[in-house]
Amino acid sequence: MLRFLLMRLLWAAPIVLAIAVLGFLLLHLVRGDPVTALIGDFPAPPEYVARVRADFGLDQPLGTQLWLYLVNLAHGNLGFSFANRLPVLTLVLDRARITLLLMIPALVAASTLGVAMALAAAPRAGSGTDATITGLSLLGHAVPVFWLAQLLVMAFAVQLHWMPASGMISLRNAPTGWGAVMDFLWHLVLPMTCITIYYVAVVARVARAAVVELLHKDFVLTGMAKGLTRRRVLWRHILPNALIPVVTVVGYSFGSSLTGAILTETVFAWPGLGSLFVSSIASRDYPVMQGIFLFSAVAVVVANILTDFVYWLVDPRLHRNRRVGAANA
Amino acid sequence: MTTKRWLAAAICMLISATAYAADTPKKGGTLIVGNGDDPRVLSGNFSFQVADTMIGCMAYEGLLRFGPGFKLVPGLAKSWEASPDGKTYTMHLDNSKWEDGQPVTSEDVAWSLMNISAKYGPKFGPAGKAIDSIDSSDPHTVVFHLKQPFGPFLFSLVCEQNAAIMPKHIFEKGDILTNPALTTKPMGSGAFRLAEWVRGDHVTLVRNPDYRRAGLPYLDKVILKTIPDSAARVLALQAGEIDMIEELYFSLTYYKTLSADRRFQLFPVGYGADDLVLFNTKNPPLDKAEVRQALMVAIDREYLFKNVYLGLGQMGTSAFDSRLTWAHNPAVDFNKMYAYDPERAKKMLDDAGLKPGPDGTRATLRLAFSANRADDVQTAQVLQRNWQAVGIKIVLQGTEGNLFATKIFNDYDYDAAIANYSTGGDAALGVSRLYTTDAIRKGAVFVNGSRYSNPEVDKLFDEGRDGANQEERAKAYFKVQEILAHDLPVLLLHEQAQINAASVNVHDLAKAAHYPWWDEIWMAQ
Repeated sequence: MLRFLLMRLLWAAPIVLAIAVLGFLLLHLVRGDPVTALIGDFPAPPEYVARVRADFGLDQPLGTQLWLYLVNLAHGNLGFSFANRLPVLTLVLDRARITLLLMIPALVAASTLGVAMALAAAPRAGSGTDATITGLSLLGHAVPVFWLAQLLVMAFAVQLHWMPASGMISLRNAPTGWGAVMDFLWHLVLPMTCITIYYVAVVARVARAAVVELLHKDFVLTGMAKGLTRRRVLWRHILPNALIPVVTVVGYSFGSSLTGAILTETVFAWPGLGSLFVSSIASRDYPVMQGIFLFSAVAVVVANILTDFVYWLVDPRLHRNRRVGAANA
Repeated sequence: MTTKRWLAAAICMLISATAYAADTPKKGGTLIVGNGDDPRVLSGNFSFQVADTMIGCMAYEGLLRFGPGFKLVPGLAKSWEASPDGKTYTMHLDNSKWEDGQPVTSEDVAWSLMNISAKYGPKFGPAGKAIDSIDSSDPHTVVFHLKQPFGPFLFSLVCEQNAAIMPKHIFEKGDILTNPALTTKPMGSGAFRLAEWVRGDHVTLVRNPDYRRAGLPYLDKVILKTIPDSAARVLALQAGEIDMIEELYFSLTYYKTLSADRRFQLFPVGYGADDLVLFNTKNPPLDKAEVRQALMVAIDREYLFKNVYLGLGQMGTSAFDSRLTWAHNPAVDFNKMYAYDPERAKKMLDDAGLKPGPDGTRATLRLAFSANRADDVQTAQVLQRNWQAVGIKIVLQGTEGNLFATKIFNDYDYDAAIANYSTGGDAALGVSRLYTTDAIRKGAVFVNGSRYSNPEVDKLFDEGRDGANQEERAKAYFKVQEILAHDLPVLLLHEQAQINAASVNVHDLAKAAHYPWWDEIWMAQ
């Protein structure tokens, strides 16, 4: 196992480096001047423009900028955001934390609900229950997130006043202690619902397909023939096997979800990585864009390694096959 | 009709202002403002961006402030006088303290205007260049000596014109741009002080107990909440989570919804911004004034006004926005000179030598616009339809905002472009940059992108800027509008409505013509 993880990590290093270089070049291919974005739409004194350009190293040739970027990166320095006047690493980590506060509960809820829906639907494949569940999850997947988000806000915040419309804390009469925690959870409900509805559909569809397929496997028939209850077969034998594709989907979603919540974050003014990314694009804040790019790439790579590790945990065959493979080699 | 429209708006404003005046202000409370962007610095001296200047000016004040109708009222300066030749201005400072307890002196005024505003402030630049010297020998008196009269000089001393006064003793040490007093530890003299700044989420400001105006501000706190999406901002206002949206961040799509709701007040502010079409006057056939005139005649501006701009604001009548009051020439009227008439436009194009080819096409032009602005996208579509109807084929080129600026002002890679310009409140600040020869500056954005050059226009804009008094200035500006109405290097299609939206619980918002006077706002709890 150690060897396996080590190999994965070794592979990850060149991937991350390639992504860093590619990200840098791609972002600089986008035309538009960060200095313009920084100073605003009013003609600035040329001396000031030159000064700002030099301050942020934008007057250097592209090759030099790339080299400096990589050298800094090797020292763990992701650069300095000229729009926010803060180190990029601080900025990105701070915002990523806020995104995780939204994404982790949403993904946990989506996985649990999705698997539950699959277990309810698959054994009755073709029935009315199955059609309803499949239809609903398809609808959840197809509904545009920003539309759903605005609808939720209109209904629950503007009309009913049950839920807050935006942000992650109450600014008016901000509560403290446990009240603050409750207040945060209260703000979490609507954006989390939005994201959950999307991912629940993904998980439910994958898990349902897996369960349907497994229902016809020999070991299931054997179990049934041995007189095991339907429930026991479903929970002890089918579920662990059906989880493998689910883990893949959730793992993949986790990596991409760090920046994937852009729309939800924008509509709910959730101050996470997604909204930072949008504002950085508008202001051509290269260091921050590169930082987020790199961060999300690393997140996908790490999520993949973790997914592999979880596979290994849930599927003993992998472990055994690898040993056999090693012996053959 | 044009003056009537603004008059009606002004009367509405006045009525609401007097209605509120009947109530006595209450102390305390928190005002939450919904903002589209996070500020970058907490000072109004470094950019023209609303988030920076609006929040910055609560912490760092200017010498003067804008009152109703852009009348100049005291700020850090309690009184002032100008010499008859318009070359010397003497200002008397009020007693005021920085956050660290040091007094605000004439020394601070002179130093920060020359070393920060004049160097870094895009809008203070022209005023900074006009200053010859500043006499700060008496700590309570500042005497400005100008090289030549500069019409908008006093106007330029308002905070949002990049003229915030900042403490010399804090900023003279080290690098100005990385000084924490610009971001995390502001050291201002304004009505509010920074309490908390959660990046990307909100900025909280609290009352300055040592504020120079005793008993003010009324509010305990002002919170600026960042909500990037315009629909989400309106929803937050409707849900009662925020109390106000500044005009730039208030999308007029929601005007009707909110105006029908008695919980909200809507009122015009700002010094005027316009929707324009720039013509690249170096590209044939647009180098001919006759062709540009014909294109103006071909535009159904009434349709545009009613359908794209929702009937808000008003149709442009001259190169000068009508909100530039004394400088606006009412005798020039695009609606009379260039009334919509496709047949006449065709004839004008024929006369200019642009005859239709076998397929009916006279010429093909590229129309550039910023795809970020819904209004611009729709305007582009209307212009395309109107111009194709008279035989000018239009290729639409929509690009993202930042790239648009590069394309127009650096590459000059366009034939016609839809752009938005602020008047800057004074023609010498916001209008001349569109037309004068010295404003043809490759790479500088939002200047003379059409590269129109006319020595007579240059001369008149100089006279308008340097006139010792308003009458002299207006004379030059009236004349220049007549020439521009003929030459039409730029079409002023529409004077944008600029509307603040707020809850009716917020009082005395409409006292100022631009950003509210934060110190005098109060909330009915």
